[in-house]
Amino acid sequence: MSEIKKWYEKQGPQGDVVISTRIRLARNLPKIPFPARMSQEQRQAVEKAVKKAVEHGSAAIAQSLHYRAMEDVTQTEAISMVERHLVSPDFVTQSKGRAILTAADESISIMINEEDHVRMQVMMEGMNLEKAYQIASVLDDSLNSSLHFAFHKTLGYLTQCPTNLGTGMRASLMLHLPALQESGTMNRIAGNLSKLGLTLRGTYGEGSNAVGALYQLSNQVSLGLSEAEAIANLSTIAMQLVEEERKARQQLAQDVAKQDMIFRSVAILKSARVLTSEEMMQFLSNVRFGIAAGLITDISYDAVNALMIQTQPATMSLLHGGNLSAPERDVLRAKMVVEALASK
Amino acid sequence: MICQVCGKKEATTHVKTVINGQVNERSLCAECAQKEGVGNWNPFQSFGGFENPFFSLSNLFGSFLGSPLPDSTARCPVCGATFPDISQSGKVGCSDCYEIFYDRLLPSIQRMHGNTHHNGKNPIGNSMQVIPESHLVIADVAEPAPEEKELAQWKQQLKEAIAKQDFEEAAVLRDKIKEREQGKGENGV
Repeated sequence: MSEIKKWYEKQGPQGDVVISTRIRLARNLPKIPFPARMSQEQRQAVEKAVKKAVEHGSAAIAQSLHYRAMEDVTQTEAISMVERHLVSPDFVTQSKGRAILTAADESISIMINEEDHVRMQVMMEGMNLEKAYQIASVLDDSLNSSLHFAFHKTLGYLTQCPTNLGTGMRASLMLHLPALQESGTMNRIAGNLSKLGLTLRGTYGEGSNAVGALYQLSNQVSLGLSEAEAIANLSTIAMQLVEEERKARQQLAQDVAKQDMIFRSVAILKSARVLTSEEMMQFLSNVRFGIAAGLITDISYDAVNALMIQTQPATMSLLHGGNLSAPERDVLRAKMVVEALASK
Repeated sequence: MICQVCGKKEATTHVKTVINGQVNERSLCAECAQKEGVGNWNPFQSFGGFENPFFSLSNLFGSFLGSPLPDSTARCPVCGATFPDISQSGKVGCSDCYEIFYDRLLPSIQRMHGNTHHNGKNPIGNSMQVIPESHLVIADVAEPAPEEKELAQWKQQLKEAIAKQDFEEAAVLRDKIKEREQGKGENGV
């Protein structure tokens, strides 16, 4: 983790509300059982075939990916991959016969033998659905140029879990919704969204208690809608939510008690000596709000976004070598936050 | 192994959790696992479930009408999964299962997606292309893969050979098509 700026160290379009975009495509090989029913030999064969297809793919981005067998990855590093959104939590519970390919800026990853044989993922800062899908699609074509994927004339791409049938695509946006959360309308909004084929849930923790007011909005339906339609649908509704959040923020920002909370959060973050993860997320959420409201001008979204990932437990241990105990992490976290937010 | 929560029943579910970078492993019985919400999430059950294979109306009508009960022991030749395996785990065994258990899977698929017809990208050959400036316009691009083109050609020739009653030629073509379609050595695995 060094010279190349990671996607999560930047801010993107609609960055005041939309933190990141994720597109995931699920693909499988025909004539081989899906991962839950695969033998060890079949796992290895799929791993080899996918690795080869990536290396010999038609797209340059595919060829630049870095391959790791999960068996060669330490547990701390594996958990850090989860924290950096490179792999799913489920992926690291078992390392045998699984492998990962990643791009240097961590915006692209391909999981081999997770829930499906191949899961390609593109992550980008801010609201970037079209661009992220475009990259994912190029990657898909690149693999498809030397690998056959299981495809059915009416059901589309075939997946282990039927909820992913069709496009095999899950598009999601990570949203920061502190004002809507405070207005107590999150449950009602989530209920309405589910009727539109979308899901909204807390990124860390559930519903109205989402830590740091971070929510994940994603498409639920993958069969019957084209990728473009699913993305347009998600995008339109996300923009409505973004507008709602901005309106609610404008009002909330007038409240002197809220302003006080924002400035206190900055003060604590800039001078703390011990910070738990939960505290930090809550204060960073307030700081984000403060930046959006124009109350804070010396802290960037980039810095806030980067801290949210870099101060996760395993990622911190990895950055500083060796396993750290929880109290040690809280001290180190405070140090990192103070340094990152120091006035330049 | 005995369940670590109730200490009574046989543990069948092993749960690995990662909290604050610490991995924690526990073994639970099915009941306790479900209480804690860590059991296998089953999309079929959460979407209203498949028809119970023993008490469903269609089976009842099936036996009234003298037609055989749907065979719950039929196995997929590729992965060995039976339909009960799939409906219990919520996971389909392999891509061939979708063909073999198609009729029985379809009602659940309809419930999940509100649709049963794919309307998006196809594998290379007739793929959707994204045109950045025009907001995801869908366009047909690329020729079919050469093998597929050839396959289509053979099929056409086969039809013609049969029409001409040239059965020698037809037999050769049929074997060629069969060999190609069975995907010998597909993906090299």
